This record gives sequence, structure tokens and C-alpha cells, in this order.
Amino acid sequence: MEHSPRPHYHVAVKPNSFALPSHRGNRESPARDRLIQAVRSLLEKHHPSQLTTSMILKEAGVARNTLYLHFEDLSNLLETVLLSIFSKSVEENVQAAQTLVDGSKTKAELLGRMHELIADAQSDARQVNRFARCRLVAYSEANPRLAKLLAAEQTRLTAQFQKVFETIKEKGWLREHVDPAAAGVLVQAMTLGKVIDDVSDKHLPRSVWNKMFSDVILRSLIKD
Amino acid sequence: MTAGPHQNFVQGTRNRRLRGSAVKQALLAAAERLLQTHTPNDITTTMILREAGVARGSLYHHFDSQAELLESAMLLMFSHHVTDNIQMLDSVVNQSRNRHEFLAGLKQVTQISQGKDRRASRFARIRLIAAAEHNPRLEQLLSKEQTRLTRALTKIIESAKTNNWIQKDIPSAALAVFIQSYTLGKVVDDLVAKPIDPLDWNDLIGMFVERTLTKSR
Repeated sequence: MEHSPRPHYHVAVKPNSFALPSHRGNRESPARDRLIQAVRSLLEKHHPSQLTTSMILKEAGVARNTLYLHFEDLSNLLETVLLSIFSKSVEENVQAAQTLVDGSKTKAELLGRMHELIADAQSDARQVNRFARCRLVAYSEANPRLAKLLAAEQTRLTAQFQKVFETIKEKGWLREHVDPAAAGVLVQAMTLGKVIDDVSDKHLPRSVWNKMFSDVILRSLIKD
Repeated sequence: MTAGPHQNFVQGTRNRRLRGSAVKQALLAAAERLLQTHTPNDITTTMILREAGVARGSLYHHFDSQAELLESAMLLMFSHHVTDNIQMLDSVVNQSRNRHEFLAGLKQVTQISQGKDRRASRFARIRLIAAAEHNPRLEQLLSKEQTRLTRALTKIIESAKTNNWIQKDIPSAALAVFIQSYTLGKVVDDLVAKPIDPLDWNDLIGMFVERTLTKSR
């Protein structure tokens, strides 16, 4: 057990007197995109709390003033990127589910192809996304600006999941008394909750977890 | 935190006194109480000392820093909540005389453990996971605690299986993790302005229990 640095419960921010929220620049600017892209690639190798303004500016090839034209502060830039990483990955899953449901002519077809979708959404590669989502929830507690962004994003995503289950209902495959919105929350809860396994000493075999996940959908949500 | 032989490892210069462990408990309990109503960032050392009725110097006898105290308190809070849930489940398994009673008991546990007033506990667990990501000491403590809890839950599931109340082909350890997963994951619904109806959620979990877990369909 070595002595470790004191924890940061939110992204470290240096107060910045230049930040004037009302002076934020055009959302579609190439400099803004370059900053976002720079943070994305830095986050592949570093924890958010390790990123400094200089690192990001160097990676993006952008001047310091430009950063503050587009973002209130470093923290705001990091939040924006973390949120977009999180919502992009969830959105990919929900869109794949919607496409699958829309394209299935029979219930058997839906169930047959559902396994691939689950295997992808629950893969080890998504561990990063699970931690990113936890981090966002944790940061948002002490950061009303982020909490508001996250609430809006989460509402949007839950609505998309709800639509998937509504489509299943329209096709007559949803079990009676299953509320589509609650079902949408359940699949997201199960997906995020796998983080429990990530933090444990011993990990469950992937196939065991995926079987559990598909059994719940198959037996509890979908009609026999 | 248990005091082990390697305790002094954490920082060689600072000796933790074994006596005065009551003071340590008071500090932890005070921090845990404050965490029910405040986020860790809002909690100051002064607040903890006042709540505990303890002098400033005592804090540093027992903890390297205020951050370490808060970490330990968060971990304690997390353990308490999960242990509560596990004890409820344990008594359901032990006191049920038949499958019907077992299902009714599970329904009650669901209502309590998934409820709105557990919101703070869901956030606390998420906070710990996020904080542990870049804090090896906390990561180790969390992983140890998580493993202990999963093992306890696995044991309860095993004993429900001997009564034929849970299908034997479901792996116990996987189920233990799974139950904790959706319990924690419900935090996604805590974030939004318009959460789902708690009754709809309970129905859904009830459906899972009835259709996936228990025998005789």
C-alpha cells in the first residue's frame, strides 16, 4: 500500500478571470472542434484530472485566448467532451436496437439477432464508457452546470430507449404491464451497473453475464 | 478500516494510536452523517469536527488527511447500505416457509432497496467508483469491500437455491452481481427531471424475479 495523492472529486479547475460566458464563440467553429478532438485523444492516455490547459492547447494547436472564446474554462471543455463521449456510445447502442426492432419481421428474428447487440453493448471495450458515465454522475453532484447538461442528455437517451420498447409494444411483442419507459431505464441500469463487476477482484465470464442480460429481456420483458 | 500490521506503511512518520479509537469512530460517524445531506466537496474539516465534537489535532492522529477520512466514511456508508439490503434478503430467505412467502418478501425488499430515499446511497457508490479510478488506496479498499458483499449475496442465493426458490441453472455469483447492477444503475433515472413511476419499476423487477429467477412458471 503506497501513499496516494489526495483524491479530486471533480475535474481540477484553475479559476480563470478571463472567462466570460456571454462571449462564447460560434459553436460550429473549427477551433472549437480541434479543442474537442484534442481532449478526446488526450483522454485515451490520461485521466481527466491529469489534463492541463497547456497540454490541450499544444495538442490542438490553438491559442489560449481561443479556448476561452469557446468555453467558460478548462472544466467546461472537459465536461463537454466527457458528455459527448458518453452520449455517443449510448446512442450507438440505442440506435442499433431501434434498427434491429424496426427491421425484424417476426419476434423470433428479433430475439435471434438480439444476442449480437448485447455482446457488443456489454463488451470489455465498453468498460471505459461505464467509468466515464460514473465519473460524469459523480462530477455533476457538485457542479450544477454539468448536472443540467447531463439531465438533458439522460432524458434524451431514455426517451430513445423508451421508443425502442414502444415499437416492440406496437408489434405486439412486449409483455403486458411492462412500461416502455421503465424498460428503457432497466436496460441502461443493467448496462451501467456492470461497473460493479469492473471494480471487483474477480470478474464474471463474459458469456455468463450476457446470458443473464438476454434472459432478463427475453423472459421478463418480451412475451413468450 | 481495519488496523493491520501494515497500517504504518501509509506514512511512516505518522503513527496512528490504537487508543482513542472511539474518537476515530466519532469522526467517521460524523462524516457519514454529513454525507447524507452534503456532497464531499461541500464538507469542510470544521464541519466534521463540530459534528463529531472532536478537537482538530485528533483528526490527524487517525487520518492522514480530511480526504482520507471522507473516503473511509464514503466506503462505510456504502457498506452499511449494501449490508442492510443483504440482511433484509437474508431474513427473507431464512424466514420464508414457502415459495409464495419468499416472493412476497423479495417484493418488499425491492420496494425498499430500489426506492427514492436510496438515491443518496446510489450516488455515494458511483462517487466511490469514480474516485477510486485514480486513487489506488481507495481502489483496493473498494474492490475488497465489493468482493465481500458479492460473496455474502452469493451465499444467500445459494441457500435460496437449496429451497428450490431460485432456478439452479442460474449461476449464483452472476446473479449476485446482476442484482447489485440494476440497483446501482437506477442512478440513470435519478439524474433526470421526470423520473419513471416507482410502481412501474417495481413491477418490472417483480417480473424479473418471477419470470427469470424463480421456479415453476
